[in-house]
Amino acid sequence: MAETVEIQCSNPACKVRQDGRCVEGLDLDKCTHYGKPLVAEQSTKAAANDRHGIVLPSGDFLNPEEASSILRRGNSRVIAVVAPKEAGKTTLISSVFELFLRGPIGPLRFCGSRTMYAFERACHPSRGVSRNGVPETERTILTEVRFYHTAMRRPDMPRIDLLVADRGGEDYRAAADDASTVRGFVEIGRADTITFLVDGRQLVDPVTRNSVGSEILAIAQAVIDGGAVEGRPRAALVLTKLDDVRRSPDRERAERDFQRFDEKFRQIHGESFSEIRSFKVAACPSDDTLPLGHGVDVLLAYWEEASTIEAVEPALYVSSPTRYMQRLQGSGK
Amino acid sequence: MMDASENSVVICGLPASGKTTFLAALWYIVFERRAADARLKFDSLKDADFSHLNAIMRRWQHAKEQIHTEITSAKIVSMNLKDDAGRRIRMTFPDLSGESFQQMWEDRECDPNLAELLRDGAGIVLFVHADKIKHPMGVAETTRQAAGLDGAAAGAGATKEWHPKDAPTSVQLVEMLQMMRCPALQVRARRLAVVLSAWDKVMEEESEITPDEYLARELPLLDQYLRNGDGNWTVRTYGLSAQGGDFERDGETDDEARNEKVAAIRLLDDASSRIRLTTPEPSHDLTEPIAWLTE
Repeated sequence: MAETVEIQCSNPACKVRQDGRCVEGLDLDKCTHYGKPLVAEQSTKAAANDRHGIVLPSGDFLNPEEASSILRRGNSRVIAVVAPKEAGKTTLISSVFELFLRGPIGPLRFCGSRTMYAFERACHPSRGVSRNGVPETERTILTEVRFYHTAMRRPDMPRIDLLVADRGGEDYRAAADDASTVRGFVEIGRADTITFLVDGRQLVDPVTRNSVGSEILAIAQAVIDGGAVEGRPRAALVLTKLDDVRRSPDRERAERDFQRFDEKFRQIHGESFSEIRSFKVAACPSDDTLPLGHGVDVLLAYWEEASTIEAVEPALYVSSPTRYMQRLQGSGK
Repeated sequence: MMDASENSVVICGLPASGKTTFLAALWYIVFERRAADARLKFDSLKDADFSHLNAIMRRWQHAKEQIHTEITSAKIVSMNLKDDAGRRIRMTFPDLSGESFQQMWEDRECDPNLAELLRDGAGIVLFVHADKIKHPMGVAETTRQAAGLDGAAAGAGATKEWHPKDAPTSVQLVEMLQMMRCPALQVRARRLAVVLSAWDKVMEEESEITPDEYLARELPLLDQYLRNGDGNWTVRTYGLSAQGGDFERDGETDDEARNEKVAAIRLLDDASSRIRLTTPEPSHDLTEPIAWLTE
């Protein structure tokens, strides 16, 4: 009786049994896998457990200790972005990366980033691939501060490491109720520029327009009175979601409200900052009213400027993360 | 034993970026002695297994698309070459699956064998399919395009969770290059040849554009990183048409338009005329990037 020869191949990717062809394009008598029993494929879970790859940098956002290792290089800027939740913090921070993806931002060139994975995740709700009808903001659900990193430089100038802090908006809102909580806000104490956001969408909403500015003023009061602001850093007052403002029939009133907020901030908190400047941005407009990242280039140029923070006596209470940040700066500022 | 210097060049790139097609065309040019002015020339068939190179070269000669390189079927191939000075060089190229590199971005780990190849490589060739670059696109832009196409609004249907594979091409490539410089890998190669494959598709639209200009326009993040980053890369950019047009796909024979293009390619008297390397000067010498990386 004739013996039936079973077609077999040890390469799991090869379908020679079905189509008679070697997956590697070889003649069957030349293939070293052909004729040998199939090597059983592991289940995905088992394969994952068995992986012994070399672990690469996570690319996720940085904790204060990791941020400090970057600051040790020297030429760096730390930016604190202060706002209650849903004011557009993460969208604003990630818009810098989104703009670099499209080219240099003014004279500034992208040199690299330790947090590209985190940037990509943060950009997703504003991208078409998310299938969101309008750009969404990634909800920042953080129990402590995290940093996004971008390295950039002007032509023929040294590189600058930009570390932008992201903290859950609830933390900042809670600070207005209890100023003692701000002592753990390491990003505020180390910031070259503290950036306060005024939510443009809330400014055109009749219900919230009267509270949005006062809420930021209260948070600013808390971080100052709570002792988080050291030296006299610079402040940026940023009207976000400018596209919402421009589309609104109440846009002129909203822009006047922002102007009044700006004046009041300078009047109340002017002494605490070495410089205060205001900006209007549309980090991720939901239509063509304004271009992507409108105003972000001007804000980034402000963030890039070197601050001259005045030295202060070290605080009596110093939290562990604060010590990290101060150590890298040489015992406070 | 060979008295040749050993050299290896690592060919990197995301899936379907033209890595295997390049190797096939390179082997054809070298083995068939098709470029008299080639910087590197065929020396011998000694001390190596050429079955994989011959197999992929045959598919290239037949104008058939290369079979996708599975991670499990990755090969390391060698060519014995010599330069104009008669120096004998044994070139080793890993023919790796693009998924191996995609894993670096998505899973944040690197296969130990790939890590070793990367560390030992004298130079890196980074392949980018010029016609399949994934650009970042915002919601507003997507909505505008959808409205322009059929009046439909974007965002219809269920929203999609984030997955790292959705990242734009330039993000994945910059991260790949950054990882090569991280302490876990410490790739020693300094020279990087960026090869824009399917360059003929670009030239059909813009015959005057140079590879450098195209890179800066289509992959601005990568271009900025290469020019300003601290990876210390010395870069040359090439445009490569290694097929000269569309090749036959396995199992797809009823596409008349494609069949006509494939037939036209097969009618060429000299198969090497399918190859065009833009340096930016036009050339058929596929060994030029390899010679530069290892000189």
